[in-house]
Amino acid sequence: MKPGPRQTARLHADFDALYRRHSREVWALVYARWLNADTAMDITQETFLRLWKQVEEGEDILNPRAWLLRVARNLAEDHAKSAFRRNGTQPPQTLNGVRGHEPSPLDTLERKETFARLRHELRQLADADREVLTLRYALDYNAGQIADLLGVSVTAVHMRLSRARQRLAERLTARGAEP
Amino acid sequence: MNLLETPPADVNAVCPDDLDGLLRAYFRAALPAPWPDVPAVSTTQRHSLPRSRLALAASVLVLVGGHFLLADRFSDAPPVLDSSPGRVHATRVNAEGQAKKARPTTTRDAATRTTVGTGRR
Repeated sequence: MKPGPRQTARLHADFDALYRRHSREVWALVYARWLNADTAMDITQETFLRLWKQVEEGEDILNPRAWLLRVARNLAEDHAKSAFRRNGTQPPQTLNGVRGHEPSPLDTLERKETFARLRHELRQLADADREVLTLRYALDYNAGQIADLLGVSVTAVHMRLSRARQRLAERLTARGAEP
Repeated sequence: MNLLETPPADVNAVCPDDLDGLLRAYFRAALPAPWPDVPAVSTTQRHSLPRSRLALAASVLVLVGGHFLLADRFSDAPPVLDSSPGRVHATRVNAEGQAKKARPTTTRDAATRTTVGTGRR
């Protein structure tokens, strides 16, 4: 029996609400894994499409947030093995996952170089450290929000943030960058 | 261009002496803007109940129905107690109505079995 229009509209409304509420968090966790904005968005979209499929089939998901984060993490790990991973050239606007907004070519170049160095150092960090950094600086989450999302203590979040920042400062200073 | 002029303030400029500023600028630059809309989805299912629930209900009906069918075909009448003194045993009536005595269980049998089991008398 085909779902009625009211049921369909409700499904869409619930799905839209979940997307608005959790899509940035999902993106942030995937970005922390790959440090590539386009890949993170692809996986985020795929995650929500899978959520829709579950919702459409009438499956009850008690904790949508946890479900989304778990699926996103799995898809992020599978990305390395998947055939659709793109190795081609990226458009200039998304070079190294960084979008340029500056009018000055020199500023743009310096900015990209700095970000490239930072991105290189971020890759050397543990996944858990990158996650807290991404949630903190991309989404402006406080330690409590990060702890709640990752399922760890606030103390652990503070320790990871402090450790990650210290390591980045040391590495960037050693490489001649300007933290 | 006058190189002595202070460049205009840029909210996205990287502050070299501030790691926090650098990190925030980096991650904010990576964040898609504007944020993409919710992915387009369509309703494709045609069932009001999930298939799995219908299959489960059908399976339960088959099991229950099969149980009653088999029970009616092979079940016997309730056992009749034999009131002979010293022995109590059940007399079962099969489907054709013929009595069939069950072997009674006595204490001596139990002892015999025990003796056989241990190899001693």
